[in-house]
Amino acid sequence: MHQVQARTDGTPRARVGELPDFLWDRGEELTAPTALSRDRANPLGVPGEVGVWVFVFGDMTIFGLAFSVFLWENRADRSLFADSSAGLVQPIGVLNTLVLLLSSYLVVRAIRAHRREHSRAVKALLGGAMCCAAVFAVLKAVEYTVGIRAGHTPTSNEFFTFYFVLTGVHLAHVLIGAVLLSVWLGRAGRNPRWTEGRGFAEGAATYWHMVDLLWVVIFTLLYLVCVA
Amino acid sequence: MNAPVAVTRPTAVFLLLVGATAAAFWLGTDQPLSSLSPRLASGIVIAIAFAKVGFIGADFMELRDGHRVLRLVFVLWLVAFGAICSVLYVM
Repeated sequence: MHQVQARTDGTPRARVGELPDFLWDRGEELTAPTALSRDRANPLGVPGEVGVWVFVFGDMTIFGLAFSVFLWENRADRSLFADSSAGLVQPIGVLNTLVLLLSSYLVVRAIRAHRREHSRAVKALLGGAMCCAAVFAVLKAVEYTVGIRAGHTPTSNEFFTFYFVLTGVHLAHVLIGAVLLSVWLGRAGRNPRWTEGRGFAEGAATYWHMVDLLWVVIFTLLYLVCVA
Repeated sequence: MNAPVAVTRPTAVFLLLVGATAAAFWLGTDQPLSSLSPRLASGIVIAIAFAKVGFIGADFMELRDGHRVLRLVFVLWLVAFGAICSVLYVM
């Protein structure tokens, strides 16, 4: 029979040869995760606070309108947009997509670990997510530097105006999200009780997933679609 | 005896999203379909992107089990802007 030792904070300790619990929460697999998640989530079925969702949907709508205007302008001069898009560093774009997806996944695991009040796992997972945010920002800085050295600035043409505005505003969202994750990490470290940290943790997680999903569309439109 | 190892839904969704990203990247770069019909390839890439957004909302944002009003607003956003982006690009 498999035995899992418990740490002083209640976090199960992985045995030698097993994946650490911040990567593979074995305790979660052995219980009924869905039932437990529902029990410990907001009984109204609203992750976080209602106000967070109003903000999230408002932000998503503003970005959605910006995507629509971008594609409308793309119709006016497809060759300009295609030539400009071809000047972007696609591998950095796809790498940043994978980095944000990984960060989102780590945040999902962090929420589940927090619901179980496994503070050590929460810290490791949120630390990993914040590292992903830092990697994203560094890669974005590298990409901006390469682009500007190649003569691509916000005033070069309409495509690069959209490129710098959309990615710049998104980068600001990433930085705000990283601050929210660090506050969540600090709060969970001081008081790991889920009932007291639920609202902020779920709100920060929801915001972070919004940042991820917006990048999925930005990457698709700027880096992949306009090249064709 | 070791405990049974099972892949949780978030893990499966994460792996699916990584696979979809790789597929979209391949479709968005030089490959037979993009040379044959660039618009079709890009249309598929847009569809993949909004499908990914759907999975992030449903599974990562926990809307699959969330309040139906939240689910409805999210699906409306997804369908509306997915359709607008597809139509504006293909037209």
